This record gives sequence, structure tokens and C-alpha cells, in this order.
Amino acid sequence: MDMKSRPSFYMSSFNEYTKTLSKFVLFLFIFLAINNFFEVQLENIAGSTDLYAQVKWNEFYGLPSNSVNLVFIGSSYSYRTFDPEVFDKKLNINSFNMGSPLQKPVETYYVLKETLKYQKPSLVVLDINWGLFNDDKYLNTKLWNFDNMKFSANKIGYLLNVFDVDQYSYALFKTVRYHQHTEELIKKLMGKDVTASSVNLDSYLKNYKGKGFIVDNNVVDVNTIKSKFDNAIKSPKTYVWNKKQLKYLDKIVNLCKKKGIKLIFVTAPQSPIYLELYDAYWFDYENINKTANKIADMYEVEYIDYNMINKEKKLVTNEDFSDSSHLNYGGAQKVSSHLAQYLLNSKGKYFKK
Amino acid sequence: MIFTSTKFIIFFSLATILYYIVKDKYRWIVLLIASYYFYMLWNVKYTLFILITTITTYLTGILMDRYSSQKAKKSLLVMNLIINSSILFLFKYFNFISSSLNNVLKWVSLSYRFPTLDLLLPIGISFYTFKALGYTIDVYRENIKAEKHFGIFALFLSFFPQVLSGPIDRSYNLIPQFHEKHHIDLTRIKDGFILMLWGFFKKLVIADNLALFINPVFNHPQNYKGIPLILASIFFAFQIYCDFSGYSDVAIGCAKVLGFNSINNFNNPYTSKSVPEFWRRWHISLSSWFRDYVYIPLGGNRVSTKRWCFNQLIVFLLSGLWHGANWTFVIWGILHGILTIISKLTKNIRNQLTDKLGFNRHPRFHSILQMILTFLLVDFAWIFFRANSLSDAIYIISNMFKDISSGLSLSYMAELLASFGIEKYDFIITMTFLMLLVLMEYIKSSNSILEIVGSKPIWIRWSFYYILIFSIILLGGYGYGYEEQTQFLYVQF
Repeated sequence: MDMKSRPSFYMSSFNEYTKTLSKFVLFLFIFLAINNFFEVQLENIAGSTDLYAQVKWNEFYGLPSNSVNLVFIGSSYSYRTFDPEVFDKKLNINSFNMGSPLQKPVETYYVLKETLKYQKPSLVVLDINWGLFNDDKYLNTKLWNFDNMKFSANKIGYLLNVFDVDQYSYALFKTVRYHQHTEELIKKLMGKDVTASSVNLDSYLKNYKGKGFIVDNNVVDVNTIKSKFDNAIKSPKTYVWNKKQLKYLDKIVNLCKKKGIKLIFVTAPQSPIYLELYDAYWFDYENINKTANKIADMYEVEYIDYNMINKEKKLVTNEDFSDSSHLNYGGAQKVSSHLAQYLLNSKGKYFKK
Repeated sequence: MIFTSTKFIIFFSLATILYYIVKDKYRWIVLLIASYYFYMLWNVKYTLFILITTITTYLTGILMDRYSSQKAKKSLLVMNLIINSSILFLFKYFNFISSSLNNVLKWVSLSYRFPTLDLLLPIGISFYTFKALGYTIDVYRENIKAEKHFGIFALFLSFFPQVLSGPIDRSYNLIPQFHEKHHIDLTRIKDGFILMLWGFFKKLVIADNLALFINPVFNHPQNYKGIPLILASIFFAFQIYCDFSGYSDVAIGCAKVLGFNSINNFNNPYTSKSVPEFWRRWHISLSSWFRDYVYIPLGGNRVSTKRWCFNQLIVFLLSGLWHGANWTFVIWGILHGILTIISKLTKNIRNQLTDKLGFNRHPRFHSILQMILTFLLVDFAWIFFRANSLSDAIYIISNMFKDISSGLSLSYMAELLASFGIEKYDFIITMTFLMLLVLMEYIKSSNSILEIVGSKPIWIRWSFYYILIFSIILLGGYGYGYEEQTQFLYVQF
């Protein structure tokens, strides 16, 4: 064959191609083996920080198929507010909380897709805290779901859309993720004693009540909240909702519609003192509430804003919070009971009586 | 999008796959789109300037080819040099000259002030402008025919592996390659990737880890005396070498994967036995550019000694200014000019001295001595190159030999490293790699890592690759704490 008639992918011989490909596969295999060795060593040194996520996902994957009627999903406001046990007792159903720290709508979409692969709930309660509609690049919390999700096309979708391109290597290779611990690894390989920064599993997990719910019994010091605004200037701005997150909220709504699942948007309460100061100094809360209502109306989804309910009914007080924004166990019981009662009173709209 | 980012690796992989998938005659389009996309990711608006340089230089070439009159050709050449140099001047030197003149006016108590412009320096401008100028001069000299294909010419100036920091490839080397067919050559592709890997290793493992020591010292030299100043100055010589030669290796490797042979940029510069030799081994694409387009037209070696000295100073002054509009670069350039002149003028005396001292009976010892001396001279000049201001450079030089004894203890070094946030073992490993690199450069006869590794048995080759890969992953300077080091040093020029 002369040069002109050769196809552009011409190679001198098929054998050369096969030989090179085999070598490449072997090279890759050895690379993965070495990488795995370092990953295990580094992970032991770094210590796992995603124990809740591990336990929650294991529990979830262990559930019988299609046994869950109600799913809570969203950020920490979800898993610190809605205690599935309260709903199960009151509504005689089986619920599960799939919330995770700093879970933004883009993450929620893929976590919900994963959930719906195994379960067919009648209702999804989505926490739509405006603060999560942002484009922050934090990595760790994204990893907690990624590491524990089973391998599937959905997991690849999570990788490609939840992480920034420059975070891909951190997601895929724990050697990259934990490379700051190389110094300790060298010491360990040299036979020196390295104390792994492990977490006491029992004390850490005692706050995990099950079904994805986390308990916190602390009561916040009001002065700590006030001190956040010490140097702030009273000029509340209009909060800008991130477009990417709104796009994924749209996908969540469509996913639920497609699967015939009812959806409720909920905003978990902030401590009254924090909300008052937040509204006065940082962002206009009335505007946030209006926008959230507008979004809910657009999708014809029911929206419950516990900040507005709390202003009217004083459902929870500052003592019901473990920090400025997260409810403690007592507070969570109050809000969970309130929502459970609301669902019970909804005359079979969401669950058959 | 920097070469060491995941974004670049994905971009390069997709561009390479697409390049080899499409038919030969459309491949230049893939590369041109990829190159402009790569450039536009930095700043869309500033693409206009590379486009202006491309259009004016392309038209100049075409017109030069059309006119046979030498006078017309010369006018076109001058016009093109003025246009391209004006853009470079506006962005790179206008503010420097304005503020320097303002300082003079202030000094003579005049109230008038020249304006300064709030402009961002277009990335790679010094590199693509020099490529364009070299092309125009080559067409004028009839060393090459003007490129008729606008797309290929635009690709020559914007070729993504070279557009940010070179190598400043020659038109007669690169343009014909864009017209050639490039079949998949697995050996060449593999070589390209190895070169890239070697470049990443030098940049991420050596240069970026050394930067953890260098940056705090050079950014606040007044906080230090003695040993930290000496070490930071020595380390900088290696940081800039590993950073820039690392960049060049990645750029040359990328081009190689795509089937192109780029001009080599480094040839073991720190094994040079004199400053002129250093300049034949350091940033070869730039030093040879100055040689061909400035030094030789000024008369080269065929002029009187006085004129030759003057020419050397001009060339090195321009070289200094090319690197940046700052007095530190001017002094750095002039220093190299002076060292080159002294090197030539003292050659006979040095030879006589060598004979007298009997060094010629111990050639290896003599050459090591020459290398060390050359390194020290070059390193001295690097202080001006790296210092943030002339006063900082003077402070470093005048304080580097003070309080040396107090800095010699191990406990002091441990404290110093801890204050920079450098882990002891990381530092030891970086130093080990650095010493191995120096040793390898000294003993190797060829100038390419490919030739050294390529001839070894497979288990040695693969072990070498795995060491490089896992050193980059585990010891590389990326992520938290390395934000300052991510960019390549020469990208700022």
C-alpha cells in the first residue's frame, strides 16, 4: 500500500497495534495496583470523614426494594430537621432521609435518581434552602455521596455534573485526594509509628439515629449568633439564585413528575434571632420567600416555609437550635411532628389514610 | 487553562482524538479551533490582538512575495515590525516607560506626569509577536516563501502547545509540518507522553516544592539574613529551570503526540563551562532568535571588539526587556551582557592561568570548576531576575553572607522549614530528586530524556515511569497550599 492510499489511522502492522495495546493494558493494570496500595495506606492515615454517609448509604442499599413511602432530601437542613421515625409513627409509613451536608440541587438530582432506582416513594419532601442555590466549589461534601454510591451510569453523571473539571482527579483517585498525607505515608513505610487521624466510631455514630437522621442535643448560645453580625452593616441585599441550581431544580421536578411522585418544597427554619439579624443585615428574607413561592407556583408544587410559619405560630424558639441554622433534637421533633400532622390532615393527598 | 490542570488533560485528549479521527485535509481546522479555544479561555477580547498580528503579518508576507523591489519589501518589513512591536510596546512597556519618566520628572520637581494605562498583558504576547517578527524577517530575507494558506499561518502563530510560553518555533521548521500528513505513529505518541510526564515531574515535584522555600524569602527578603537568602537564591536557579524546561517539555511533548517536531529549548544549561555557553543551552529558541534577528544583523563576530561589546550589551539588554518591563530584568540582561564580554576578553588570560595552575592535567576537575563558577555567576544574575525590586535584590546581595554561622545548625533549618510550612521528608525528597536531576544532567551525553530512558530494558523504563507518575501524584505541588505555584513562571512574560 502506498502512502497516499493509506487511511489516516494507518499503523505499520496489526501486530504492532496489538502488542502496544497489550503493553498499555498491562501498564495500566500495574498502575492501578500500585495506586490501590497507596490509596489504602493514605486513607488509613487520613482517617475517614464521611462515616455518616457510609452508614446512611449502607442502610439505604440494605432496604427492601420499594419499601419506602416518603423520602426527605436536601442539605443538612433536611437531615437535621425531619426525623423519619416521627413520620413513620404518625402516618404509619416507612420514610428515609437522603439529605447530606451542603447538598445543592445538582447533587440532590443525582442522589434522588439513585434513590428512585431502588425505591418508589409516593412523596418527596425537598428542602429548598436558598443558601444552597450557589456555585461554591467545596469538594469534601460532594465526595461523601460519590464515594458511597454504587457504580452506575448515574454515578458517572454525578461525577461529570456535580464536580468541577479540576475536581475529577480528586473524586477518582484517593491518592490525589489525600496526597497531603504523603509525609506520614513515608514515615509509615520507613517503619515509623504514625497515628492515624481516626475518629472514634462509636462516639461519632451515636448521633446517627438511623434512616439518615442526625441528632444534635446542643443548645446554641444566642450571643454567638449575635457576634456574627458584630462588624456587619445594615444593608440587606437581594439574594441571587444560581442558574445552574435552578436548572437542576427543574430536573428534579420533572423527574418526580415522570415517576408519578408527589413533591413538596420545604424550607427548614432558621433560629428566630439569626433570621431577624440576617434579614436586617445581609439579605432581604421577604424577597427570598417571594422567589421561593414563585418557583413553587411555577411548578405547581406546594411550598412550606417554616421561617414564615414560625414568625406566625412561634413553633420553635432559639433554644430549639444547636447553632444559628440547624435544629437540635427537640426542635427537630417539633417541626417533624408539625409536618407529619400536616400530611395527616391533607386528606389522602399524599398518603392514603 | 494551565498545562498541569485536569481541564488541560481533558482538552488535550479530546483535541488529539479529534485530530486523528478527521481526514488529513481538515486536521489544521481542528488544531486551529482548538488553539483559539485554548487562547480564548484566558480572555476572549484579547484574541483580537493575536488576530491583528496574524492578519498583518500574513498580508505582509503575501505582499513581500508579490513585490520584487527590495525597497518595497523593506518598507513592508519596517511597517510590519512597527505594527507588531507597537502592540507589544503598548501592553508591555508603555506603563514602564511612563512611570520611569514620571520618576525622573518627580526627581527634577516638575509637576507634569505621563499617563499610565490600565491594561492586562495579553498572555503569550511576547512569544507570538517574536514568532511573527521572525517569520516576516525570514520572508524578507527569502529564507522561506510566504505562507499562502491563511488558516495554516494563523495556526503557526496560535498553535496551542506553544502559544503561551513557546518554544518560539521558526516558521521554516513548523509551517511545512502543518502541510504534511501525520499518520498515527505509536512510538512518537508514546515519546510525546513521556516528555510531557517528565515536564510535569520537573514542574510539580521539583519547581513547585522549591517555590515553597523561595517565595517567602524573595517576597519579604528583609525578614532574612545569611543562609535563607543563599539557599533561596540557589534554589531559584533550579526552580526556574525545572519550571520553564518542564513547561517546554510538556509543550514539545504535546506537539510530538500530534505529530510535530518543535525546536528544542534547553540543553543541560547548568553544565555550561562559561556564560556564552550557558546562552547556547538556555531558552535556545529565544537566544537563537536574538542571534539570528538582532546579533547577526548588528554585525555578529565580524566587527571590532569595541563594537562587538556594544552589540552584546544591546542584545542582552533587549533580552532582559523581553522578559519584563522592570529594572530588575534590565539589570539582569546587562549583567549577562557584561559577563559574556568579560568571558571573551579574558579568554587568553584564563587559558594561561589554566596552564600555570596545571588544571589542563585534570580536565574533569577543571570542567567541574568551570561549571560551578559559571553556575555561581548565572545564579548571581538570577537574584535580579527573581527579586521584586532593585532594592530587594541589593538587600539580598548585601545580606546573604551575614550571620551565616547561626544558620548552619540543623535545628535552625528545621525551624525555617516549619515556618514555610514545608514538611521535613518532603524537603529531603525534593532535594534528593534535585540532586539526581543535576547528576543526570552532568553524566548524560544526550540532551533528551527519551534517549536516556528509551535504550534501557523495559523494567527499568516502566519503573522510571511509575516513579514519575507517583511522585507527581503524591509529592506534586498542587491543591491546598500551592495556589501561588500553579502557574508556570514564563507565562507572565
